[in-house]
Amino acid sequence: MSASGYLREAPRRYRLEGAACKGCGAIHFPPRAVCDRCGGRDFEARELSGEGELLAYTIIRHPPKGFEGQAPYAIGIVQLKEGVRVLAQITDCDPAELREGAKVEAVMRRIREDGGFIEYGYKFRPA
Amino acid sequence: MLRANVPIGIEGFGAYLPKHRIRLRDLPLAQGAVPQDFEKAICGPDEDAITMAKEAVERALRMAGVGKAGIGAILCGTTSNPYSGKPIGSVLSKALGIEGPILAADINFSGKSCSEAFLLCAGLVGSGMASRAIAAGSDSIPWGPWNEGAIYSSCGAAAFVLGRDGGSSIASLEGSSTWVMDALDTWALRGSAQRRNSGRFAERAMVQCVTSSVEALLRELGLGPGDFDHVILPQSDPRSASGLAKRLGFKPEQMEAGLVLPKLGNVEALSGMLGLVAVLDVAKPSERILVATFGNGAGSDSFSLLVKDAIEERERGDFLNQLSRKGYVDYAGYSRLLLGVSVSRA
Amino acid sequence: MRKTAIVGVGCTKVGEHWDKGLRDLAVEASLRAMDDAKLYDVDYVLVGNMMSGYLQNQEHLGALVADSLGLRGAGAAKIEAACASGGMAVHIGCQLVASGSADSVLVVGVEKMTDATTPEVTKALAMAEDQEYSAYMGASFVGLNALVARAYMRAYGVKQEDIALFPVICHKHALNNEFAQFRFPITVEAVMNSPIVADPLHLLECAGIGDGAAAVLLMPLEEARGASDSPVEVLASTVSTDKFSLHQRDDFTSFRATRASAEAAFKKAGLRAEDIDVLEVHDAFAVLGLIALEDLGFAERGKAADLIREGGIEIGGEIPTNTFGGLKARGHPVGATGVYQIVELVRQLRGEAGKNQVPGAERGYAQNIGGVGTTITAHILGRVD
Repeated sequence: MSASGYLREAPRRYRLEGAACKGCGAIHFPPRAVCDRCGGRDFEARELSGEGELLAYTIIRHPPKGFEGQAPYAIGIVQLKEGVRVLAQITDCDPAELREGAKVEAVMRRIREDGGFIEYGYKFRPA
Repeated sequence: MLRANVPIGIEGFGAYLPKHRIRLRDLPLAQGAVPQDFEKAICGPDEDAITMAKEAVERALRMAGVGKAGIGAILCGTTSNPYSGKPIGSVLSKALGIEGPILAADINFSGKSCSEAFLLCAGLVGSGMASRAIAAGSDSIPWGPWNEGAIYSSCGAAAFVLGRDGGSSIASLEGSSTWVMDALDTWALRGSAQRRNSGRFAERAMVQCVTSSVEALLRELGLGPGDFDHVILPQSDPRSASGLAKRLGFKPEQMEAGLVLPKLGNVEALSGMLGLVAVLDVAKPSERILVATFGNGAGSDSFSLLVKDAIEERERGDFLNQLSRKGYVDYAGYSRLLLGVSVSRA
Repeated sequence: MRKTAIVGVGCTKVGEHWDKGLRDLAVEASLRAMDDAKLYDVDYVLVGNMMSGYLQNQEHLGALVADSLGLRGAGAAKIEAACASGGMAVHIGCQLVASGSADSVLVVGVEKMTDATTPEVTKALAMAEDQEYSAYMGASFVGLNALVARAYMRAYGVKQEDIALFPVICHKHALNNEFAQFRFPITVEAVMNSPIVADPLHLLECAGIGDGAAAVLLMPLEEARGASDSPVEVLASTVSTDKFSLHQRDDFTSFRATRASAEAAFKKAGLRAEDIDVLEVHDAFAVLGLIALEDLGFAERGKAADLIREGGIEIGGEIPTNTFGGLKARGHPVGATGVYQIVELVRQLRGEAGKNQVPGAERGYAQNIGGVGTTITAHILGRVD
């Protein structure tokens, strides 16, 4: 990962900055160029609450390159209270005790070190 | 005494503790040398001084409820920034959405790093250079061969939002004092993992710095040891706080609420300042708090706070909740966490 | 638009080809297809491939393969759509022929996976996913499909033992496929006792890592009638895409792109699901096989396990599926997979499937998936009488 490519996404990664469509009010994360509900192209930045519910999860036992030291770790789909769905690691948990439907909250954590710098991003932890 | 032109108040505070704990008796070199029921915190493999600082600052800002406007500085006391040559405040400014015309620096003075950030922020607000400033402190346990020696060394973060003292502040800064001197008490050469200690001589620096700073503060404020409801003294080990208290005339019951060492160990950069968070979590209006910190090398900061009525309106108790929300690791798990490796058994 | 026919097919065995590189595999499969068709002059070469840039540091595969085959001057390009690269290359090839842009197109799918370590291949496969918001989080491709499996089992109360029957049947079919990577029988117990890769997926529910290449030659049907003894007509070739990331969809247990590409394909061919005699589905993970059977209309939602349990997908069953072993047992050299499916359907429709011949097979359907249900191609092939 390049430094420029990393920092470009930082507002999303550090504080879940999404976008609200000015046309229909749909919330998107990540922000989109075109609203897939109404086709609108005007948005305003909207920081998401980070509060949500775990819809599905799995435990990664054979991680991709760059994540080797972290396995086993949990990955889950979280439905945020704004209705947006995001995919992220579930941290600060015993993966064996995770359950669908669990309440979770977003935190900023270290994701990996790939380009010689530390890459941070959102994860979720049991609330 | 350091004096401000305008009155300064704490508008919000917050702390963050990682969930992992180890009982000191489970550290092999600790057998017999430390109180067996003490425990300390350790970061998860995806945490560091930056992630912990972010959580603490968010909590402090949430309590302050003042939004992000007017923040002129974000100073972070730390001895374990994962970067060298890049301040924690730069990442925090992005994470908090306050990039721009603010001062951001790491403050490093071992055990008084966070209190020094606090006084510098007070200086910025007190001089009128900033209408609001965030003083944070965050430390992880630096990994190294000497770490076994730093038996109480722990992880955590704290943050304080400082502003002009007014209706919304929860405590007023009554006055502050500091003392610095050249000492070789505990140190390490740059690039060396070996921490050195001058034994009995080391204690003298702490006693001299802390007593000088606290006595000057009391003198300036015209207060005596009995005027404080809560007293937080340096607590890098079980003996230092009680020894200093005896010397300065403080009673054990004044120290009780702010003594976090047994439950949390010593988070170096914010030693004492986490004690302040613990006190603020339970303090009542009109109570007076004395904080004195100590940094190796050596120096001491002290200040007095007067708790205000507004504190009752804030949601508190988060720090105490975090103290009890925890999971224990054994020595193998502790070693894995020091190396940044997962302890998951799934 | 012209009608398109397949006049030649060829493939390599799928496996660990330590002595063959990416180019060797592509050339071997292509020459077999050209020998099969006895057609050596080709207008256009399309190479279906996903990961050569990362795994071999090699791009520009179109011209590389064309030149290796001595086809100087031919038009050539690499076609990439993750695991659907093969199906997409066939689809584009059909467009070239149907539109009249080319009179003979060689489509070769190839992937050389075993030159890299497993974490490297895992990272390469995750390149099918959004790098900023899925792969960045440490999600592996297996992990994302594991989410599908969990959601599917939860939604329909399907037991994992029932899902495990799918790879068991695929392995049975592969026993008679000389090109298959895994030619040994397995049992439901063996699947359930194999290590977990990403909960709840066991190793034996997942396609493995292998090298391989497969090729088909396309011509206009009218010309093919004279040029080939047994041309097979492409009755429909369609593609559909969905919201890029699984987690942004409402339903994790069905793929809209399968349904949309199938609907378009059946409409184009003037056929319905019950007209299909032999089926190839993209069972990179066992649960995907069940979901495909449902999305294509061969079973009701959540009921594919019943069809499988009753022998419905075996040779002689209601809808013989993955008759050469599917991705699980034939193997899944990613960019080649979609072309293998076409090669295998052609063998069935020509009556060349040996012991696994579906008697009287006249029409076959192939579903090829790129990403987690993101890009899906559909091909319906028919015997030419």
